Amino acid sequence: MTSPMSQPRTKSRAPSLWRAVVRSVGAVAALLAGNAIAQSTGASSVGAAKQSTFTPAHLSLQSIWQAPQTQDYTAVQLRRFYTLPAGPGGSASVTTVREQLVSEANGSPSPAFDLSFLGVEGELPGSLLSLQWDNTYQKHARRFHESGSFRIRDLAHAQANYTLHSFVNVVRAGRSATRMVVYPGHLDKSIWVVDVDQQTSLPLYTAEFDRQFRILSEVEVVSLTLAAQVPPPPPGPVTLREYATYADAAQQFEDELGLVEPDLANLPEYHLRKAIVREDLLNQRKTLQLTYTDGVDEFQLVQEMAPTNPFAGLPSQNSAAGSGGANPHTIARYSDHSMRVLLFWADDVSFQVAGRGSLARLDEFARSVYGKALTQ
Amino acid sequence: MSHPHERPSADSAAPKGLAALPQACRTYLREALAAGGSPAPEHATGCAACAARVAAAARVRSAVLAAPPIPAIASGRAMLERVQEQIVAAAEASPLGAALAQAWTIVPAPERPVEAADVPTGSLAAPLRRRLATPPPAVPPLAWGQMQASIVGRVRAEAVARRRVWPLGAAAGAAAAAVLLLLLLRDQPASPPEIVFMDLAAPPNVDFAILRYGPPK
Repeated sequence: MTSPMSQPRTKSRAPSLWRAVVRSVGAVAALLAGNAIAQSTGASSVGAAKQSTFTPAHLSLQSIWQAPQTQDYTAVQLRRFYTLPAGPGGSASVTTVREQLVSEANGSPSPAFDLSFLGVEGELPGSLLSLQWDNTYQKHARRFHESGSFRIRDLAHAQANYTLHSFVNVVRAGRSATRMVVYPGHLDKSIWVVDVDQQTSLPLYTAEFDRQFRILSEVEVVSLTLAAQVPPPPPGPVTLREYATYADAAQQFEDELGLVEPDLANLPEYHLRKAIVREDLLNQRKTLQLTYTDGVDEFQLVQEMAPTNPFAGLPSQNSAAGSGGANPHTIARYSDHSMRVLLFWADDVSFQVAGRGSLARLDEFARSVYGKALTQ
Repeated sequence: MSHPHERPSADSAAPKGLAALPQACRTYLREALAAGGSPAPEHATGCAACAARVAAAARVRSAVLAAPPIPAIASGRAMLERVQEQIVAAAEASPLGAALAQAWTIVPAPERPVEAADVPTGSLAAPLRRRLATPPPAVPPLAWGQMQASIVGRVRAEAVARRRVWPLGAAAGAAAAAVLLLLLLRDQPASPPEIVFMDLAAPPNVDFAILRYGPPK
């Protein structure tokens, strides 16, 4: 039997706890975001409003998800890459790249876009570093836009796995915006601070933090034009074909015996977002890229036909007598606070699992895929 | 009149027809015909051929099990005596009857009854009585020794034969056990391979690293 005193206490404690958690998270996230912005931009384009918490009614995960589907825009933006310290005594560095994003809405969640390199901040055009980044953008611009910053990739899953908190009004790229925090339901994912344009709901600033509030990536819009003209994509040596299911994509391979359809038992909030068959027209080599998302975060499983084991020469792969504990079933793992990559090879297929650094559950995911590849 | 070779060909047609049936139909028909009924009516409901076969079998079974009435003329005593006489006449006319008639000499009956004094019992009884009264000669020890040696030798030979057979039996048993164990192990799921992780000191040259850190230095 419930005590008459305990029931009102329970009712009043839960909202107060919730408010305390939200208030603390929001305060820390806003503080970090403000500090990061002030350090990186010199507060030139940011003017944090003095008013307290403000929540525009029309800003939501749904409005952010719909904005690029209905709005043409051209943005000049700065993308910051935070590199690791070089060596034990080295220090981390930041490279800021200026780029131009042209997005043309087509009513679908995947609008046509073009991301082009403009320059490296602090570097003269034509310098070695500038040429290196130009070349990198020619190869990886698509990936930078699709996976390198905050996007709502699946609205229903995003609403189930993230909560949106509004804080203050800011001015970003000369436009009124609202600073919001997208907070994950699981603590092994990134926390996003997003300045959302109040007129269009387009993100004007995104910053990614881990749970220790270390900044991982950052994209800042410095000018926005609500018009777009996407140039036709140049022909390239690589074709990409997108499929909705694993089975449809696997049928594109002549020999699909070594391919593996993974099991998401320990990542239940993720689902297959797309399966891409990438074919290099120069050597006819095909690669299967499976992208999984929880609505915002995503990770990839890449499977590529490789007749020879790329790890065959490593000591861990040599299980000869006297090698002492060598195990041919080894997963090469690299993880830091920013990314987690797992590499292994089985049955003429090389596997690569890549995701955010804090998502340690990818280890068991890779072990599951490897075990399935070895036993099927 | 049918040719003798027609019957085997007609019989062999039935197994071919059954063999052409699906496994489920064969199993169902085997059980249904043995039980004299339909153990699984749901199969007969879905399979018209099996239902027709079971129904035909039921009709034939009832006809065979019902004994036909014996005609009154066949159950009369005169008919049975005529049958017996025909059997005897056929046996006498057969080669066996002729051979028996030749070998079976008929002793003519004596003209007067045989008296006890006519039998020469005295001349026959004396040698027999003499043999019975004489003790049998003693068996020499050498013969008993040979017999004992032969018995012991036979026993030993059987033991040696058993010892020779034992390894073969053990080997056969071991082979059977190995085959059985192999079958059992094949049905059991294989143990999962041991997978270990090895941490890398530097980020690998993959696209995701470029996404996070830019081009490699």
